[in-house]
Amino acid sequence: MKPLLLILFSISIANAQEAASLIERLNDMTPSERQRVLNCMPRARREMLERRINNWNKIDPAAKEKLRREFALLQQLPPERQDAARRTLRQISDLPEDRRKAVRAAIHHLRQQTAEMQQRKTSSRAFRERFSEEERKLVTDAVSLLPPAQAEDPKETAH
Amino acid sequence: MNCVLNQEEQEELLLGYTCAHLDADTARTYERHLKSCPQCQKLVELQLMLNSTFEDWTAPDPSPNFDAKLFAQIRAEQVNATPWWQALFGWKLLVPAALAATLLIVFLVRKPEPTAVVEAIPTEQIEKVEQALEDFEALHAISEAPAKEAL
Repeated sequence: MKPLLLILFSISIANAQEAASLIERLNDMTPSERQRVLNCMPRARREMLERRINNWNKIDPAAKEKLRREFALLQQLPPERQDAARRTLRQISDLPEDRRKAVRAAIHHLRQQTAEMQQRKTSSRAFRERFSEEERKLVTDAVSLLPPAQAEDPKETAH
Repeated sequence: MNCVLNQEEQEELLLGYTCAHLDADTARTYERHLKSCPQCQKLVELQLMLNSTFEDWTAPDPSPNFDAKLFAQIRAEQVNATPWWQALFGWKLLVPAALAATLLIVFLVRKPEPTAVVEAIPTEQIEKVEQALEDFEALHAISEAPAKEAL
């Protein structure tokens, strides 16, 4: 079983690297070249892609590396679970800004905890008081569907 | 001996005297001057001769179709003097025609600018990039959220 997992992880890493290298390719293009390449896309979709490329460019290299590893782990999940995770993430992004921030902060916090601690916190009175039922579901779904959070520098976690 | 009159006075008096247009006093004064000025005497003599020649001359009658012949000749000269392109197009068409010819020459002569060849990215790869960027954005938003104050 272990060699199979290793192969799957290698494929995921390769996919993440491919995606990253494609982003870099788009990034290196002049606006007119990029427009030529993406010309077949509807305008709104192209603008969304360009906005996301610009956001990606603003992330510092260490955080980018961490995101690549998380993305690789996400790709390693079964397709149904990936889809479910993405649906949850989209629902979170549709929340009002203040609730979106609170939900994301809770997910961030819980992903750093052990499974036992996650269980205790999501059963706590504070969690119930702070979030609505829908928000609590989004938090618990995201924590259970997403792969474990990655440390910014993998060397730090080795110690 | 040179005449004491300047050229303008000389001409005015000469023409006035020979045509009998001078008043009596001026005519008498001029006659006194003529007695002492051979140069003016000579000029008066020549002017009187010229006047009598004009009086004697009668202009010949033009031929009956003189005007028709003259205008036909003028038209023929105008047509011959007009270049073929001007006769054909007129000058107003010449400017755009010259501009078009210049543009054609520029188009034919100029070398095309070297354009960078942009390798096309297949649609499925673009979709992968979109998906990856969406995932990166969502994961980044979570990792950037302040975890300490969450629960």
